[in-house]
Amino acid sequence: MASKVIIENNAYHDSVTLMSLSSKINNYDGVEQAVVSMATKMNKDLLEDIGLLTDEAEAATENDLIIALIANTDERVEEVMEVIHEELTSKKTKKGKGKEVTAKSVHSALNAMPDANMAIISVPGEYAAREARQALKKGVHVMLFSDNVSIEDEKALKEMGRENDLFVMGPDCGTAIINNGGLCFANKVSEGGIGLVAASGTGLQEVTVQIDRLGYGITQAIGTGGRDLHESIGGMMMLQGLKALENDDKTKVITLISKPPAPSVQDKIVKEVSQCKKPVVVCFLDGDAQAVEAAGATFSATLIDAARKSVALLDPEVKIDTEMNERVTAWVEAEKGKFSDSQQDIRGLFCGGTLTSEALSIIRSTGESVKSNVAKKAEEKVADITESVGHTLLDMGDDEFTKGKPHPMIEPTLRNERIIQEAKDPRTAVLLLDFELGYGSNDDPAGVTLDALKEAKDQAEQAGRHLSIVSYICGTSKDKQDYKQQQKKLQSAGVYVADSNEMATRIATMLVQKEVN
Amino acid sequence: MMIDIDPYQIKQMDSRLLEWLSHKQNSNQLGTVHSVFDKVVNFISHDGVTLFSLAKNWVIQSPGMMKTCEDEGFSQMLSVLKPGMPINLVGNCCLEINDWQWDFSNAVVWERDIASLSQTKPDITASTLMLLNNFIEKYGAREGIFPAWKSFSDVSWEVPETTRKNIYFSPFLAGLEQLVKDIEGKKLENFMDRFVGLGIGLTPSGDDFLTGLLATWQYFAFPLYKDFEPNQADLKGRTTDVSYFMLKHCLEGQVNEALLALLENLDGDPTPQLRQLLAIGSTSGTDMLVGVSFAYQQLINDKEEKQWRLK
Repeated sequence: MASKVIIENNAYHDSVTLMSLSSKINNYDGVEQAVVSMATKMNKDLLEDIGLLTDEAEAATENDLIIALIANTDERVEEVMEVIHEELTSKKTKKGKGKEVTAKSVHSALNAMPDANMAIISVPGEYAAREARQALKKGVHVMLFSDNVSIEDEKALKEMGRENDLFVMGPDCGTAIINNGGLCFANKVSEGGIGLVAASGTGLQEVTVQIDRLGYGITQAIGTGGRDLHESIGGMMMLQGLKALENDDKTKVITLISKPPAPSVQDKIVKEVSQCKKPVVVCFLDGDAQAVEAAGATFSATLIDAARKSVALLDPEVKIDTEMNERVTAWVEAEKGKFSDSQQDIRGLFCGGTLTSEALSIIRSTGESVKSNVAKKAEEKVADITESVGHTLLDMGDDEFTKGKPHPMIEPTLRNERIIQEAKDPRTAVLLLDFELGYGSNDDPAGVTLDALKEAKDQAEQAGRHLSIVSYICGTSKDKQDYKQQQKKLQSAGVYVADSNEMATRIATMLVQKEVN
Repeated sequence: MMIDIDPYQIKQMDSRLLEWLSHKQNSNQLGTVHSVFDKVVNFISHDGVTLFSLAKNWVIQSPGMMKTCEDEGFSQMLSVLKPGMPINLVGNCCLEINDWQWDFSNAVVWERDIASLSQTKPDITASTLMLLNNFIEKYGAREGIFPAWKSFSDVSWEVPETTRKNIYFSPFLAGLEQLVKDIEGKKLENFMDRFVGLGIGLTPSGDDFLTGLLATWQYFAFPLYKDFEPNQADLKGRTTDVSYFMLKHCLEGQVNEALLALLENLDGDPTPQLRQLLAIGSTSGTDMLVGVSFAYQQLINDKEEKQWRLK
């Protein structure tokens, strides 16, 4: 067992905060005992009983806060301590800054915080370009979360950024990790030697998560916005990111991620990659492996493969197990036997766009016909997003679903309703779902979906069918939502939790195919 | 800075705070900001003898508290307040905190305490106790003293493993068991020591429990309590400042409005008062209510013993 005790002097947190934090932490896996309480004499006596009354705790006064923790490993102690610290400081920060600085423009925000060197802009698209220009004029990097910015404005902003050696991440850039700080939707991952540039939000999340799970870490994860590799933008930010990471001493391996670029842009990027002094992994979903490999880079067809190859380039000694284990195949065999004759289809309901694209690519590669709202090929496009036909994969974070509604990563109602709808369809055999943890995402994404999952299973059962649900949780053990708790919640509802989006998709495909491979 | 605008208005003020202020001189520095929360700011006098507070109007009125309906001004002030900032008296009826001025000249005076409650006391009945206990069971928060009280009062209750793991469970249970022994032995001298400062929170659960218990015994004049003479000075330094003043006020017969309202409505349908009390803090309301229930049980025991003796 490992333990740690921290004292916060004169710390006044309201009882609701302390009580809910204490209850929450005590339920974490690996936590034997957690005490978050004021350092009164009685409370200190109790700490002594469990061997945690350090000298510092002994000296604490009744108006100081004691945070004491016993967990199964030193690593777990540090992880949970970090969660406690974040919860307490975020509450304080919210309180302290509540109405202190309410900036209505980038200009006034920079006046209030003159040392800032990055602006995150999330205003309606029609105003976003103007605010981004203001930031660039002030010499500040830009992360443009806003969408609905014209491609002409995007081009002009990126040219301006390139001339001034500033990044313009976006528009529609949802994920970045800069100097170990997650921006918008991002996971808490370890620092290490891999630098990433991505024209894809959940793609970047998935690769950084998988690198972390393999025990390695990242330097920077730079987002470019989904249109950066279009013909008219020419991959300006991906090229700028590649150059910046090449010049960064801490970055040993560079990983590029995108859906397939325009051919001329691919040529430009491949040319730059061929001149790069550092090893580069290129993960272009449905991309041209030959062209990439001809440039001396390493090609990856899937996100998890990109993570594995990046790690292997960083540490040639690493051993990575890529085999699907027997437990999975046994589970698949058992599930297949429960389907009724009508059940033939996979229904994928995703929060992540790139995870949808990856699943589409994988299912297509098995010879199955599949439709999606993210498909590029005309024959794969869904005719009506309100009704699934055959194998159907929906990115429910896409504009056509979220207009005027919160993204399902934040608020799951939209997807929960669709889960029930799909369960009622006699053709549905498998529901394929993703859950994203990390900054920006719902505090309990599995928990808020459980009722819908149970109802979906009940609906199917009442109709004499068995519904299989396969999921993937894109998150690390360091994320605030507690990965293991999320996993347990899903498993308690009979949901299979795969280790990657790729594996979840393969399992879903195995379930609807005649033979288990 | 807000100097140029009209002062914000205090809507209600504890009479004892008003009296304390009336003895202060114009431009007198009263004390400093002690602690800042979303709904309440606490101030401590320079001599450390008085803790008083400014709260949003919907917060339950408590001893030493003044309240305001001006939520926006209050929230704006909160965003810049920090412990240690001075609070001054300006003129006779205005408080100044970091240039924010609060006028209490039109404040409604709150002058309630246990002594001011109706002296026609509700009957002590087993049905009232059952009502209290059912309410705690159904709506009470589980994180404070509740599991220990439940285990103490219902031996058939199987204590969940997670509750046993909680380091506060055993001391609370032992405290309740010893308290019953003290009452049976008619020795109350040290019973508070086993609860003061015990538990999570700014007002630890043990202190909230004591508040509910002491208030109930005071109101119903529990015979043993009449001879109980706690040393208030002993409490100082054993719990948080905010909780120390809550206990000090309680021993002087001053408790929050929800507790007062419950005590004087115990013989009717006290559901609204129970709900109001339960809404205090995270577990504070439940802990106080457990204190009321525990004290009430002793009152019933005492009544039954007297009836038995009469027979």
